[in-house]
Amino acid sequence: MNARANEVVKYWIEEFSNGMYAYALARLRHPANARDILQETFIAAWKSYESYNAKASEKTWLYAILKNKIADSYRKKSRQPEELTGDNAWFDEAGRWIPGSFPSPWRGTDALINKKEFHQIFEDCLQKLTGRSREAFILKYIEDQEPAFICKELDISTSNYWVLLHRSKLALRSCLEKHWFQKKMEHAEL
Amino acid sequence: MLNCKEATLLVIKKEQGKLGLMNRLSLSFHLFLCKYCRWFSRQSSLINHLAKENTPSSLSKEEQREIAATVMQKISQD
Repeated sequence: MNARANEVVKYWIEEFSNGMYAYALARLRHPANARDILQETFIAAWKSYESYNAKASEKTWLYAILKNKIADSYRKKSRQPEELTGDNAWFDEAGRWIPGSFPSPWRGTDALINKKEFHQIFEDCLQKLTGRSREAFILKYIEDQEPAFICKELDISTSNYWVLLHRSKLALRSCLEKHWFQKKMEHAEL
Repeated sequence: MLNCKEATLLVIKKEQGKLGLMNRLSLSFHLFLCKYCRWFSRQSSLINHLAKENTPSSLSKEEQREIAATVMQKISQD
């Protein structure tokens, strides 16, 4: 049984894992989570392999399991209490920028689009976003989904939707500034 | 008069075309006076642009082997 499992799982991974990984990553945007989901998918697939009856192609069948696993992970996440890094990280009680969180002007943004290192920083900063702020950001700005769909998917109200996007933008902006733009300026001064 | 927290939230709404006339005017006025929020606004639209450019990567051979190993371990435990 294990030898058979080994053979089947190896085949799935060779044939389908890259495409499935890209699919999961586009939705979860977190490499470690995407790999975990892939593992769960293959385990679940093996468990129900006997009932798989080749009506659908193996690929379609695996993707259906993957989609379910991703939907489950969204649901689990929205049930977890949101960590409140809060808006007061950026603003005082009167809603003014706190000294130290003032945005600074970004220089040389035109040259960024093709820069590999910058995209890596962008990805790292995206991963630092927490909980539903990240999910909301991904669904809106990467997947370009409709607000109504996003509210339903994350089980949130419209006003929460704006709060989450606001928070994700503030956090991402500040992370990019810290890890890219300030470093660039230090280099320029040296 | 808007504060910066409100103004930055309105920037996000405006990008999605979800801002009424009064709010648009208040926001323009705030951005005219406040360079920090003006920079925020510019950076926010750059982020929108970059988010679309970002492409997912693929698994390395090493990661594939790790996945295979974990899956096999879990399967044989059951």
